[in-house]
Amino acid sequence: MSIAVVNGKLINSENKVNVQNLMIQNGKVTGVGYIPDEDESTISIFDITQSLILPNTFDFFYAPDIRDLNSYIDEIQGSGIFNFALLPNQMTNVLDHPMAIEKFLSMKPQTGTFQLFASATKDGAPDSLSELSLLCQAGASGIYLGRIIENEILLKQALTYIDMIGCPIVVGPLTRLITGDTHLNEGDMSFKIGIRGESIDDEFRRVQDFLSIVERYTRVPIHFLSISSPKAVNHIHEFKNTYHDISVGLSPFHLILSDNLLSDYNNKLKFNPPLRSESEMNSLHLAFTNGQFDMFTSLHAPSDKEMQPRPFFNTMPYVQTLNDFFSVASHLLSESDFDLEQMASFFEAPISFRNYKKNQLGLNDPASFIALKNHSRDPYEVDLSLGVTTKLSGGVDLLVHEGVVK
Amino acid sequence: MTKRIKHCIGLRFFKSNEINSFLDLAASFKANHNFKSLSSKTVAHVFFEPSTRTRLSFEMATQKLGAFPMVLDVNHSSLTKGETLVDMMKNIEALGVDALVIRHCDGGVPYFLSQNLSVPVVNAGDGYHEHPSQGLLDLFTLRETLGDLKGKHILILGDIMHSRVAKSNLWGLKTLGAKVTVSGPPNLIPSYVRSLGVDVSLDLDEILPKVDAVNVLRIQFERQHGIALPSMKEYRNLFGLTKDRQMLLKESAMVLHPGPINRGVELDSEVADGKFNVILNQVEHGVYVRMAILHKLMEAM
Repeated sequence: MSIAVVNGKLINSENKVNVQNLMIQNGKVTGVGYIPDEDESTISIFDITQSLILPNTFDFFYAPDIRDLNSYIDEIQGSGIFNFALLPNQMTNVLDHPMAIEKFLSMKPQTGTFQLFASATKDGAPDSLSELSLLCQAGASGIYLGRIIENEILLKQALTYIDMIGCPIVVGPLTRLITGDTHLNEGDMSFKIGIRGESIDDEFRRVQDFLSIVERYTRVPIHFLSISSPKAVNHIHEFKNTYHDISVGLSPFHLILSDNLLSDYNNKLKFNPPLRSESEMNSLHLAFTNGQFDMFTSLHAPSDKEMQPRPFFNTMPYVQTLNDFFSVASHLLSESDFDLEQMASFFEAPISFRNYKKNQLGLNDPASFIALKNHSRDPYEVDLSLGVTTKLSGGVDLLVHEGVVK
Repeated sequence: MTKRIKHCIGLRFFKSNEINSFLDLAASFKANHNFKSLSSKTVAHVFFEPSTRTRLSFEMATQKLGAFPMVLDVNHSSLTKGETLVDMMKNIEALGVDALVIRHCDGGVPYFLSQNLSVPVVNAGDGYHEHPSQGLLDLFTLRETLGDLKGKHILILGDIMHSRVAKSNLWGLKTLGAKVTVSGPPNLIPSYVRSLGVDVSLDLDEILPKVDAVNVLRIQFERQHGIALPSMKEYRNLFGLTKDRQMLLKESAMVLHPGPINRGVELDSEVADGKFNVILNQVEHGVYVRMAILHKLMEAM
């Protein structure tokens, strides 16, 4: 069976958007711009007028147990993220040894690309540096900085080595996971329902402290996985004036969900970084429309299969689905003034972290892409898997993975 | 028909008529000590945090109602073998208990269990969230002496930020129409309280003569995480209800404290044992209020 996808918007090699038809056969793109004359009974036609085709979407995910890697990759790519980077999992911290890096890289997926970012510290402990150069020699694309940031001396040491190696850095959410003895969130809702969390000022101070050290020790590319407070992202944005290779990720959920929704301890809304107040959410939205963010991140973890309900404190974050991620992200973009090329860039890795081509599709490429509605239309009611009903515009029009329509 | 109250998770969930129905029932229990309304029922008491007053008070309330208190020692429970909280509680429920009294160090755990169990759940204190039975017994003690609390001026003194007792008092007092002022170190008073219509006073000497009662909160050393207070001495000087300060109170004023008291810090011994104190009355009333909670939740099961 052949598939024809018609009237979709495709970005070409000159980064311009064209309306193009696609022909898909045997899992590959066999035609761009035309539909061959075929018997109608052997061809399925999908009209995706007003949708943007994204074949090279990217996101960061925490590494699963190596035994789960294949199903993990299937779930990620089958949900529309075709390229990804794995980060050391804070719980298992599997990417702190060269052999682990080599083992993961030997399980490369058939389509798409994946990168590994090695753990800066051994065994997830904040007091012992990993062998950073050996990890990069083993194939790590860069170094992930997690809790090490809390130890200033070790951070300076790590940055010195990283600068010598010349590899990029990914910085995790600058809030600790909401378990253990973190102090009280200053937010009204956190006070009301008695949860502990971390305030926007905590996140801002960590960003500020981190960047003040960074500029003295290195010039390598830096990517912040997810920033949730306007003050922190403004600070990073200003920092870009003197330190050019720096990028910031944003969870789209933080632009439509506020901590008001936590009044009934909805543990599906446990995020790291945590949801903020409505006014902070609105300020963050302003930073987004002002172009202070570089890419969307889903904050999703396919490895969490635990289905038994847990109290808020014992729930791991990252339970939201990639389908919700694309719905919310396309809603935000369809309501924004960004042009189509900019929209596509929100789903790509920042340029220094990219080892695949941009969101372009050509002859003989694997037929894997997601098509998102790019025009604003009347909002429709959506039941997100987070237990929240909301009105969204945009949305997922078509998802094709290895030639199969999902 | 009055809607049955299913759980007691926090006073923020109750309307004034519901709070008053607990207080009225507690008053009838105080007047009539023999009231075995729950014979043949079993109440599980599960405390994940240390407790003396609340635990014993709930056990006594259970026994006075004729019910059997099934007390679980969590240090020797199956949780230590890796069982999940839900599995453990569902097993306890399957044993045939009729209600669950739970204290937990994490806010939201009683609410979570109320959504996952079919028996009534009573919150005996959860993290930074609420301590509704303490809130109700404070209201009961105040109402018994002051009458209708509408318009009465109550001062809550101490660490508002970390205190679950403060929160239950705030919701309960505001719901019953009292005028509420809070006082304490500014970093321990969240700005949110002003949005509830609560006044903030940082000058204890100025506010004390104006109030009908002071509820002095315990300074919770175990919850400070080293961030809140520069020194106990400074705290006592600025916000302690000292022997000298008690002279500023009205002759009819009351001093409450949820216990245990840090004598010489938030409360001087002369005040804790002095003429204004109703602290032991609170302890006594705790039993009646907890009887009322258990009775109301279990009466129509």
